[in-house]
Amino acid sequence: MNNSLRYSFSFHPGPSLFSGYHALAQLPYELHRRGIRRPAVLYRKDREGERLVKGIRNLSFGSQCTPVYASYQEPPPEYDGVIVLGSHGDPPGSFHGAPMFLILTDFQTCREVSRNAEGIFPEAVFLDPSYYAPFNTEHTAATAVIALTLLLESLQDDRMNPLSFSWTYSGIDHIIGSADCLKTLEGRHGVANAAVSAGITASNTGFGAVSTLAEALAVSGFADRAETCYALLPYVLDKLASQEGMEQLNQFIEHPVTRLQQLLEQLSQLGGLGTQKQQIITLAGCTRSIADSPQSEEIMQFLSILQGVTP
Amino acid sequence: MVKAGNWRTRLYLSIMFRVTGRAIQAAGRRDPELREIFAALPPGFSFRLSVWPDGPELNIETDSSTLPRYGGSKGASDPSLHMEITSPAHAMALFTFAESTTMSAARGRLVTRGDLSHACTMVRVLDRVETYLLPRPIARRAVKRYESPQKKHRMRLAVWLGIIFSRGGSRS
Repeated sequence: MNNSLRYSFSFHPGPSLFSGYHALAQLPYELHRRGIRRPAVLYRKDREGERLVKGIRNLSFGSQCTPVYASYQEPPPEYDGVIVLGSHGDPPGSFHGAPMFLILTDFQTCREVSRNAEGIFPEAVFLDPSYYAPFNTEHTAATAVIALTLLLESLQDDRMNPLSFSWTYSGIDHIIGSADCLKTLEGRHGVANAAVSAGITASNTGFGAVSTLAEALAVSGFADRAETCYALLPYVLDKLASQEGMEQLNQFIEHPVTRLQQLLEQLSQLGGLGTQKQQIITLAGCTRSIADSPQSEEIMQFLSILQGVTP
Repeated sequence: MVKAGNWRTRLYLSIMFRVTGRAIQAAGRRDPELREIFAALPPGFSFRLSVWPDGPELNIETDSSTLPRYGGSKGASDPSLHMEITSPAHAMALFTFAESTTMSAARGRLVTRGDLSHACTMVRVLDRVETYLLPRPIARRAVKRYESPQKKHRMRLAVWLGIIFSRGGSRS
């Protein structure tokens, strides 16, 4: 058997993706196509949530769909689908099982569309620039750094295949194209697209060490995901320089390592990142040495950093 | 029940559907290439272009001499080919010529029920009709590949006269 026959891979395509102007206008038709008549629209009861709800209300005029508007904490008694507005937090367990539609913006954790997310794998994702919140460059830059981490870590993974690579390259390309215009709607939309690409890639290749640690530290409240990613991404880049994934990237980007390092610095300045860099690097060092040889001193050091005490 | 889209959108689309329907009828009877295209379609072929959920409709049927006849919003209950635009906003993008018919279909905004070859044929018909209806700079945006037909200006005049003076949907 020759090598090309022996080479096999699997790829799980992500959810249906509707991106660009008027993308959200497709939502009522997608609900109708799936026979969903009474979707629960989950939103946060703040100014931003109300703004998005108004848009959904206008869109559902004329269709046979009668959405039930509810907050995350008060689920409606009856519904046959779930529409989640924005990317903040997972819906509670009671919503699992119903077809889910996500309306995302440039403020994401990049895990919304990944298969690893807890029961929140969506049917369709909508990225409509006309529904983005008033701009916040720090949020956009943070999303870009998280997405870049997921994309670069996926390049190191053995499960990388030609289809995953096309998503990875597309995501990196979106971030490179958006970095210079992050304050414009065009740049923000590019980052939103990159975040979805990163989520779909991570569904196939899995999450790397940095993004896993970033998630753990964010959940524990120690550091933002973007802070951790920014602190540890240079190590990922160093390791990548000698790997096969980077050879592939070389075909599309000139001097990829240097370009990506510059990109990371540019994004960190825009996002105001780097305040916890040293702490996070020390913490990551501790986790590594604990894994190699679990000694009580290292565990104590690890815990002291987590508790916010500088070792 | 509140209708989809605001009243301006509904009015604009309603006018555009009427103009396009009558233009298909007028051009299909005068342009030799369109006559050939309609002659190749099966006898009794019917076509509907509509906007989901309750937008305007455009119905075209071929008569016994294989010429197209615009039927207004009245048409066969089960047309041979039904092309549905998925929302009034997408219909506006299509009929303000911000995107071409082919781009609209490629972006999943134009859902087709019926034979694929008939859908391709009708997209060609719509493109051809748009080249007669619109000035070249706008038509270039509205069609996939702009081709200037022979005797274009004479045909354009004939099509516009056909739109204004034909009885359209009321023709028996």
